[in-house]
Amino acid sequence: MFGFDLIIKLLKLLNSDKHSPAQLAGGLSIGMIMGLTPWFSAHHLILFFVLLLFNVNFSMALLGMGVFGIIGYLFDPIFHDFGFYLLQLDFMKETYTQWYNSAFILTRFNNTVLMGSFVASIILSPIMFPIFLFLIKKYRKHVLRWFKDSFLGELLKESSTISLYDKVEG
Amino acid sequence: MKLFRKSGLVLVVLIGGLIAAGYYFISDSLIEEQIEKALSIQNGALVEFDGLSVSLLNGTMSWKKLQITNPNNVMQNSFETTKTSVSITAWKLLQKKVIINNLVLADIRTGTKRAKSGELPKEWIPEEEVEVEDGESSLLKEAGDLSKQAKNALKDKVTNTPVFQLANTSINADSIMGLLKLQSPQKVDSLKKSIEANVKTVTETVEKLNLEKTINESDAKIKSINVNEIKDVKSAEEALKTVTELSKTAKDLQAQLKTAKESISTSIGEVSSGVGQVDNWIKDDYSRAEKIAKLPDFDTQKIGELLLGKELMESITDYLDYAKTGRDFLASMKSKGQVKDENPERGKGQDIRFKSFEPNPDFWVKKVNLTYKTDKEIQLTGVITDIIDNQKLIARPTKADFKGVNKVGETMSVTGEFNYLGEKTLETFQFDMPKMSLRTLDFGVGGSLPKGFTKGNGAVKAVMTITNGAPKADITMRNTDVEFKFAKKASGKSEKVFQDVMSRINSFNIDAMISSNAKGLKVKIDSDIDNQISRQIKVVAKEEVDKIKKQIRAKVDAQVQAKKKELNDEINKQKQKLEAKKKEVEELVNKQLEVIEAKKKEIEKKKDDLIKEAKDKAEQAAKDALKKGADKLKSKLKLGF
Repeated sequence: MFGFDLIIKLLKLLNSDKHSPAQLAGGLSIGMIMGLTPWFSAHHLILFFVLLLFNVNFSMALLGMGVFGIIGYLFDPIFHDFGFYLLQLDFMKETYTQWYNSAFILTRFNNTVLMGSFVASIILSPIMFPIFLFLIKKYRKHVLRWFKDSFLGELLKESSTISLYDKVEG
Repeated sequence: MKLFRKSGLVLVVLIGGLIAAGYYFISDSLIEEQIEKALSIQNGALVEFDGLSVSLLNGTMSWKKLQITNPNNVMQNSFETTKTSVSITAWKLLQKKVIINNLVLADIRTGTKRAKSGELPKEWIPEEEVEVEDGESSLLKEAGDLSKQAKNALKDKVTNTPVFQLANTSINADSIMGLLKLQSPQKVDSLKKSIEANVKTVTETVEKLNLEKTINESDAKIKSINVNEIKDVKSAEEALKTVTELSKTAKDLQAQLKTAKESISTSIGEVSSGVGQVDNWIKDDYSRAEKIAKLPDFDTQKIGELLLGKELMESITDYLDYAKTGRDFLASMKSKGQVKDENPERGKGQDIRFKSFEPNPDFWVKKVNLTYKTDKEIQLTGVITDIIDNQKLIARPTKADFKGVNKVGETMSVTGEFNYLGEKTLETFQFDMPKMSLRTLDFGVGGSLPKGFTKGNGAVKAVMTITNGAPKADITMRNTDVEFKFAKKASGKSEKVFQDVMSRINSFNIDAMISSNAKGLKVKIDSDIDNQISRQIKVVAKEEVDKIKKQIRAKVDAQVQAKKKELNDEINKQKQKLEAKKKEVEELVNKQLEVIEAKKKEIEKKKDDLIKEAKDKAEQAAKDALKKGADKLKSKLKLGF
């Protein structure tokens, strides 16, 4: 039922006025970075704190981690090649060497997959944030009305899960 | 809408606090577990820390006790340390790198018993054992069994060496006299009989001449001739004829006697030469006795190996064991290169290395100050530098330099170098002990061989190199002022000789050479003690044999000289007898000849007298006739005138 609950939750989030599209897009973008990069990396802790500190949607971050985690796994060889390319850049060699000889090495920046996926996700995040924002807004404007009037929307409205969710959301 | 979440800030602080508390309370046990696991896998058996404490802020790590299990005997520790504190590069631990700047290990104990098995948990055992290089591991694995193999081989040699059967061999003059059948007494008897027979033959030959009868007849004939009765020449001539015949007979006798004399002389010569033969026979008897008196052969080959082979082999295998431990540990840490991994495991990627301001290996103990007491009560103090997973990162080999002193104050030095910088791995070990008391050595061999030394000093030098896992070693031991110790007093001549020989050796050298080929290790042990023993055995055996020969000569003389004297007496007696006979016969014949010659002369004189008398008478008659004629003529003349 977890998957079902997640979909319900996602729909509720998208449908709710309590969460702005920017909060949702922000959460999804951070989740994307965390999902695309290998798990248990040092920057995950930082991103987790960012999630906690900034007023972005946590659930969307989790959703982003899950979805982009799968995408990251599929793109792993590309990230490896990209990371290897980045780590071989001559003009960066001195910087890398500095990092390599400091505690910064703990970030595992010298790992090809981590470097490739992190840089890719960082590059993608400012691109993806407006896209996510645009899509959420479009959803709310066009899809939400249709959804609420649909049989599925009616069904969900009646369900205890949604009732419970409504309670939680206040 | 607010950009920040207050509750989030609280959560960040809370989580930060929890992490700090968690680090404080459980980081030590987590790190301990991680380090234990990593080192245990490298060691092949459990490595356990008690009371490990890591301070990332201060960059220190300390423990109350460290036990490193012996992989070959999991109920025993290779060594254990007491309270130890080391300086580390702390943040490297978070990178799963262990960089220890200075490790001071004191009061290390080796071979301690473990309360529980130090076997690796199954989940820690690597799926695939990585061989360092083909062939080399098997060679070094054999090192552990080598001592045992060497001991067994030496034991077999001990059992099969003739030296150990000498106890059953005895040799003395009486036993040799029992074996020896003297020939000279029999020959002397035989010679004596031969001489007697010879003399008898000569005597008979002389007797056959009937000298007395002939002489008596001759004597009678001579006596029958009375010169005074010879009145005329004719009778004188007849008597002279008789005497001449007798003289001729006597001369014939003399000629026969001459032959008999020659025969007697020959016999006397033969008798004399018989005496000379006796000496040769006695010499032959001596010679045969000496041949029987020859001591059994001593197989001196490989005595050096038998005596000190075990000691050297143990040293060699100790070295190999140390080498194996060192190189296995270092080999297990060798890291892969920097070539791009085209197909890394999903999500794992590849770690790219960059130039380090200082080398950045996964494991590096820069310096270990070690004070260590071996199970043989040798106090070793020294330094090991650069125990590292990849020597190429620091361009230096791992080195060990130790000075040692044993419980009696003898010093030694041990150096080692593990060089993995080139294409070929090269380990070099040197051991030098300029003066070592040999009194404590136990050869571990039995039988007639010495069990050790009552005194003596040895100087040991060993150099061993292992190139790509193939060991090559040269170990020399120069032993001076030695005195061998035997388990029991010698019984039997041969054992006495052997112990005497060993007591004369006061210095010897022994060299061990190890090499390897496809079949495994080849050990060769050479010693000049074998040649020395061989030389000394000849000297001692000669003295011993000379002594026995002297005894035998005395015993042979006791038997033979009596016979020889008897023979000499007999020879002298026979010689005298022959001489007497010779003299008697000669005298007899000569006397007869003298008588004959005297008679002959007497007759000749008579004859001459008679001739003269007749001549005078004839002259007188002629004178008278002439006078008568003259008178007649005168008278006629007177008458005529």
